[in-house]
Order: sequence, then C-alpha cells, then structure tokens
Amino acid sequence: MNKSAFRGLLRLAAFLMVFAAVICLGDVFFLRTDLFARRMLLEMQERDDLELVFIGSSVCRDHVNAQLISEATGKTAFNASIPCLAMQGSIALTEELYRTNAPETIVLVVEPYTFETEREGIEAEDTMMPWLSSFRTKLDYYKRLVAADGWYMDRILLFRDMGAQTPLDIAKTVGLRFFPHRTIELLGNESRDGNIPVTYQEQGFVRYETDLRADDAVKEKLKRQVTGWEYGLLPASKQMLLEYRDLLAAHGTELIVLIYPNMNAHNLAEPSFLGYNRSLTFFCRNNGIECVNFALAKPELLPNLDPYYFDIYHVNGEGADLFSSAVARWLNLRDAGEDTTPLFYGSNEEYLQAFDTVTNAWAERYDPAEDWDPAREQDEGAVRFLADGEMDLYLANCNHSPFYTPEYRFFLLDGEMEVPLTPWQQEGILRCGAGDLDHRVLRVYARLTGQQSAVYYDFRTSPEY
Amino acid sequence: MSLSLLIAASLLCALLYYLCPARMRWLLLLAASLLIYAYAGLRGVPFILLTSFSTWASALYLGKLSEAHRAWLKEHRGELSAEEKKAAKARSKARRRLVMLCCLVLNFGILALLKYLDPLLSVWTSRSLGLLLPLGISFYTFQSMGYLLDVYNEKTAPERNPLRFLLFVSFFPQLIQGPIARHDQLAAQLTEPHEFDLDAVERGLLLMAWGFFKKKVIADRALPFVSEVFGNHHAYGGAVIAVAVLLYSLQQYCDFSGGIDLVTGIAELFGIRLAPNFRRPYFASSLGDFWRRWHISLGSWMRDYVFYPFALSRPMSALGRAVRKSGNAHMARALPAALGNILVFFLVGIWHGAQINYVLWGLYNGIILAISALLEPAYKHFGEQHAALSASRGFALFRILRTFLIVNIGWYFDRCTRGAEAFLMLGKTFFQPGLVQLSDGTLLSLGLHSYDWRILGIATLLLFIVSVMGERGTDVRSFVLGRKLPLRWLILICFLYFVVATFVGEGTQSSGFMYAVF
Repeated sequence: MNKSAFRGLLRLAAFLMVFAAVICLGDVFFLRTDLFARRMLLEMQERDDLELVFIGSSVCRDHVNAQLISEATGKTAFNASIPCLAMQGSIALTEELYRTNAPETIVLVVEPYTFETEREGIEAEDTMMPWLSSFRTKLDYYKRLVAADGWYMDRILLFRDMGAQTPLDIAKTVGLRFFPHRTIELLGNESRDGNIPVTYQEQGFVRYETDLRADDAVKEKLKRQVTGWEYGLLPASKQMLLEYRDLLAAHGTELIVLIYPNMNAHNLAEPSFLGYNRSLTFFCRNNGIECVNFALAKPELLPNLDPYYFDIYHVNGEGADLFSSAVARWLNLRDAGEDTTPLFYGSNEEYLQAFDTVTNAWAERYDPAEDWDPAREQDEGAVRFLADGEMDLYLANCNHSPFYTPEYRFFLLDGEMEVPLTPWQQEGILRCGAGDLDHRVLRVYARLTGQQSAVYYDFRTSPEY
Repeated sequence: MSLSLLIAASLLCALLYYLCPARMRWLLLLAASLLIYAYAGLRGVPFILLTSFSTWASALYLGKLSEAHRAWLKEHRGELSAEEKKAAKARSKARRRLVMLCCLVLNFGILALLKYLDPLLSVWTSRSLGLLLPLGISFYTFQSMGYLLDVYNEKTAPERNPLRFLLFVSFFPQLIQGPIARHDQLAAQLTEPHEFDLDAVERGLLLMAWGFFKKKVIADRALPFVSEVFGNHHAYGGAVIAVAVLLYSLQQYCDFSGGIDLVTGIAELFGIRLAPNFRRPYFASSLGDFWRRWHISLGSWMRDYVFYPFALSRPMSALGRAVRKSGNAHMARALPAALGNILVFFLVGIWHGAQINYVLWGLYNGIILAISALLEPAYKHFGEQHAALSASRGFALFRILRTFLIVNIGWYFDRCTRGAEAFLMLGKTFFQPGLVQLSDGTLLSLGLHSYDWRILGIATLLLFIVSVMGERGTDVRSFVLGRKLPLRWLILICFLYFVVATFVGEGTQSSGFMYAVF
C-alpha cells in the first residue's frame, strides 16, 4: 500500500471516529429526559439504606407509595420503577441498585405484559439506559435487549426515539447530568401527563391526582373478544426470571414476585389474564420463588380498585394508597409469620364466584357476512336462523363472571327518553325490520339475573350517525 | 435479507476482497454472491444455476456454430456459388435460431411459470400452488437473455468459463433489483483484479449512504400513509388520495433509485461500475423522456431486444411501406414505432405482474407514447410557430409538471391491486376531492405524525436540491468530496447524523425493496 493510500485510510478512520463521537454525544445529551425516572435513579444511586425495594413498570411506579409502606412496615422502602420495564430492564436496574444498596427484600411487581413478550418496550431503555452508572451493566442490558428483538441500531441510537425536540430538552438533559440537584430544584416536583397533574413523591413513587375516570375507556375498549392470543409465560422470559432469582440469591436478597391486580373488567374481558397469573404462580412455586397474586386478594385485604382507575391500566393517588396499604399489611403479616392465605381467594374460580356484578356491556349489529365472534354468548345457529335477510339483528353482551347469567333489555333513545323495545331477556337479541332502527341510538342495559343494579351502553346503529 | 445485513456483508466482503490475492478476487466475489443468494433463500439457488448454465452452454454452442460456419466457408473459399453460400448461411442461421429459441423458451418459461401461474390459477380456480419467486429472477433472466441475444447477433463473444459467467449472472449487489447489466459492459470488470482505490471506496460509501437515506428515511417513512390510503381508499376523499399518490411517487422513486444507489455504491467498493439506472426522472419534459430516465437498464433492454426487432420486422416494414404509399411519410415512420411502444409497455406492465392493473398501467403509458409519436409533427409545428414560448423557462417548467401529472396518473394503476379501484380513485381525485380532510387532522392520522411530515419535508427538500445540482451537470459526490477537509467533514457529519437520527428503524413498519418482488 502506498503512502498516500495509507494516509487516506488514516483520514477515513479519523472521520469515522469523529462521527462515532458525535453519535455518542447525541446518545448522551441530545435527549429528552424523563425527569421522574432520572430523579428516581439519582435518589436510588445516592442512597445506601434501602431495605425493601419494589421494581416494575408504570403500574409499580404509579401504584406503590413507598413512603406509606415505609411507615407501615418500619422498613426503608423504595419504588424503583421505569415505565414499560420488562425483565431485561429489571435485571439492569437491580444491578444498578446493588452498586450502593444491599436490600433485604426485592418485590418484583409484574403484570400480564411482563412475561407475555420476550421484548422490552424501547421506551424503558430510552428512559433508563443513559443514567446507568456502569458500562458493563449497560452492555449486558443492551445484549439482553437485542437478543430478544434484534433491533441492533434502534437500541444503540437512543436519540432516535427520545431525541430532543427543543433546545430546552438538551439543556435539561445536560443540567440533569452535570448539576442534577440544582436542575431538579429548578424543574420542581410537578409535571403533567397529558392533562393529569403528576407529582414525584420521594422514594420513587409518582402520584397521579385526577378526577378523571376510565368509565368511557372501559365501555369502548374492554369488550370481551376471542383474539386467539393467550397471555402466557414465554421460555425466554421464564429463563430471565430464573436469572433474576439467582442474581438476588447471590446478593442474599429475598425475592417476592407480586402479581398486580388488573381492573376487574379487564380480567373478565381477557380471561387468559387469570390463567396467566395461575401459570406464573405455579412456575414460581416450582422454582423456589415466593409469589403473591394480588389479583386474588379478597376485599378485606384490598378493596375494589376499579373506581380509582383513570385509564384501563393505572389508578390515581387514592387508589395507589389503598393498594400500598394492602401490600404493607400483607408484608407485615407475612413477616410476623402469620398465615395470609385467608386474605386471598384460593383459585381463579373462587374469585369469579365472588364477583357478582356486570362491569360493562356493549351492543353491535349482526352482519351475516362476517365471521362469527366466538366471544358472543348467543347461539350462532339461532342467530343465523333469525337473520333471514328481511330483518336486522342487534346483539348485546357484557363482561360478567361465568358463574352468573346476565340479562339484557333494549331501549330506543329518543333524546333523553328511553323507549323500551324489549323486556329483560337472557338472549341479548333485538330483532327488527331491515333499516327500521338505522340512524338511531340503542341503549342496552345489562345486569346479572335477579339483581337490580344494571349498567348500560349506548350504541349508534349507523356509524355516520 | 435485511438491508443492514446486506450492508454489513458487503463491507466485510470488500475487506476480504482487497486482502485476497489479486487473481483470486473474482472467485471471492462469486463465492460471496452465491452465499448471499443462498442465505436469501436456498430454494432459489437451483433456478439461478439452471439459468446460468443453460445460457452459458447455449451461448457457447451458438459461438461454435458460428465458428464452424466461418471455418466451412473458409475451407470452401472459391468453390461455392452465391446460392450455395446463401443456403449454407440459412442452414447455419436456422440451427443457431433453434438453439437461441430453446434457451429463451426454457428461461422465460421458468420465469413465466413461477411468476404468472399462481396469479392466473387463483383467478380461474381460486387455488394457489404457493410457488415462491426466487430473488431477482426477473433481473437475472433478462440479463442472461440479453447476453444470449447479443451472442446470437454476434455482438459479443461467448464466455468460455462457466464460473465467470455465473459471476456475471449472480453478482450480488445487482441481484436484488438490477440494474440489468450488459455482458460487454460488466463481465470484464468483474474478473479484473481491481487494486484498492481509496477515492473510489469513499465515493462508493457516500453513494451507499445516499441510497440508504432515500430508502430508509424517505421511502419507508412514506410507506404507512400510502398503504393505509390505498388499502382503505373508500374512507378518503380525492384530495387525500392525491396526496397518497404523490407520496407513492416519492416512495417508489426513493425505494427503487435508493436501492440502485446502494448497490451501485457497493459495487464501487470493489472498483466495479454498474450502468446507471436513473437520471432524475421527475425532471423529464415528456413521457418518453421520463422512461429514458427511469429504470434505464430495463428500457434499453426493451429497446434493443423488443422494440427494434419489432419495429424493424417484416410486417412492420410492410406496414410502413403501405402507409408511405398513401403519401404520409411521417406516419409511415411513426406507426411502427407507436405500435412498438404499445407492445413494449404492455410487456413492461406484464413484467411487473400478471394482475390487470399492471396491464392497464403498461397500456396507459404505451398509448400515450404512441399518440405522442403520431402527433410529433403537430408539436414541431407548434414549436416553430411559438419559438420564444417554447424556449422559455416557464414552458420548460410546464412540460416538467405536465409529465409529472401524466406519470402520476399512471401510478394509480400501478399501485392499486384492481383496475376498477384505480378508476374509482382517479374519479374521486377529480370529482370528489373532500378538501376538508386536508385540514381536519386526517393527514396526521394515517401513519404519519407531524414529526414524520417534517422529516419527509426536509429529506425531500434535500433530495430536490441534490437532484437540481445533478440536473445542472454537477457531480454531487465530487462536489462534496472535493471540499476542504473541515467543510467536507461538516457536510458529511451533518448528513450522516440526519440519516442516523431519522431513518425508519427496526421497530417500525418498513419494507424490503419494492422492485425485488418483480
């Protein structure tokens, strides 16, 4: 190779190094930073007295009031959670925790989304990766992430997803890196998630204060359907849970897997959630991991949290306090060596037997050309027989425990007036002349047979109405 | 095979290429090509081997027949009458034609079988055999058959080494979507022992980055919007449909030409220059000009092996003579050309697929070109009458916009899966625009958020600026690489950072190369 080619190669290598440096700069500074995640990590990194640590995703961050638990248990509790965190992130976060702390207990808060995918949402990495202290932890975390999804580029170029959108974003990130306390002081404890005021309340807990409720979302989103998708434990996720168990054992920390209770309507709309909880409980039991399933907590331990949800996954601060109190109570009883099993239903069936209300209902117009939805409770043959081409059929269904039988009543909504179309009936079928109810609003009530309280759903018979 | 894997494999291969002894380099290229092809789909390997071997053997046999004929003439020099020479030539030609036709039928037969049997069966019987199209089969079949016809016409000498010919057919950068190379232009380059040339490598890397930018920043970003609107066109007014067609125009151009830039850049890493396949087609001033700038290698293949043989065939010559007798000299010249254009674009349409929309798209282009050819005297007359206007910049811009409109109307047929849908969407565009959807947030709900629109806007502007520079004769790569080091690095780092920050990544909807499926 001649001299000029050699110099040229050196020039090319120098250029590539400069470009790599620019990319690194982007990955460190040209980012939007999740202030609360940064605060939580900073607090965790600066403390060395944590005894009881909760690790999980947003359902942990927003629901576990660590201060309240500290007061109730007498242990220094901490909520180390990152939105969208899965097992890869939990391992990395725990390794980070061990750099300055040696907790007695770690409670891994899991939800149906923790193990039903081997991939971790990229948001978790975007939020946490820049603030991890150890290069080795970062590298291990990256390797685990790309082993699951193969997103080699997206996972390394964080500024692609979390890139700064304004110069202020860069200033915040630079400030939080070099002058974290001063910057946090300037930015304050409060923020907004959409329209909801959110406050960071020391020890990692993020409190949502809102009067919003998830009623409309429940009505529109939580309709039971058979998608063919079963929430289950994937082999790679199970393997990571075992790795996690071993990591904690190596540090002399006890591990508790806490299954977070979903909204009841969600459990009924997606029955495989409960099966997933059962599989996870068995898996933990068979592998020497303590597991507590709060989805089966009785009302005497955990009151119904449904009224506190502001979306279909998250509760407000009041709900979080209720949940945290229940967890603290359970921990105290457990630590005192008392039998806590009476506080939980013994099985999913017991829980369903005890659940004696309809959470929500829905209606639809039957279209013979479409495939039959097996989630409907009507008999397919009977419906097809009734739909003879001359008539329109409307079907009503609801989320309810399979141990109870619901009944329905159709009304026509005329302004504020409810005009009854059917008496209470268990079929949930309204038959009328073709087009007779087009461009109208049907109101369908649903309740468990023999009960008085009912829920309703308004159905617009024509989409353009 | 993913794009990032192709790039990584190419860089590794380039490194090994220059570490390898010079006389072995072409063998390394062959091994890499076959390995990459096998990785993309093992089932395609027998087909490419069959095409390569059958074409190589047929061409070699054609060469031997020619040689034998020449030797026989030489041996009998002075002994043969003119009639005997003519008869011998006819015999030789008939045998050569038979060999050529057998090879053509075999290879185009395989292509047709794999490409059209399933779509036709599904139309007639609602059944499918599940035949998979081997990667790049259209491209390597056309390339091989072009070579065969060149040997048949004695424009090129047959290749004697089957491995060298296999490399010509399977050279991995061009396998995915062309360009369709000519043997006399490419084959020698492939086997030459190229020495390491840093300038060429830098130029190649820059072209690869530019191709990646077009494909991953522009084309893949536009994809969700186009897919949504064409997939559910009944839900949108004509204005949104028109936006989708414009984006499709951008997407298709950036997908195809970006891919070509990428593979041309990869070839340049090895010191190999592929024939250009695009020359800024959206600056074309007429539809004919557009097709001389778009997919140039297919256009020239069609011109040399379909258009000229058809337009100069005996029936067409006879037609021309008959028309000439009626006194219309222009028509006598233009009519065979017009019919040739219709035939060529009918075939190009079918080359895209067996679906009726492709046939309609091909006929649309062919008929407009045919009409243009027939009306040429009228254009000429207009130009002479309004010389100042014709020479003005405004008129040039008008011609570019007019061509752009004509091409985009054609894309309705190209992108729709059914001909009737194309007419429906076209009708909506002109008669039911539903303009309110342009301002009521609909545009932000079809897979592109405001951030995506901004990225698309900036990237398209950059593409436009570079295209204008190219159109004015500037070699943009030389322009950039010729700047002083600080400015050059600044330009490159800004560009590369923009690409890295905005390309559509693994976690988002993206696609393979559109033309890879043709």
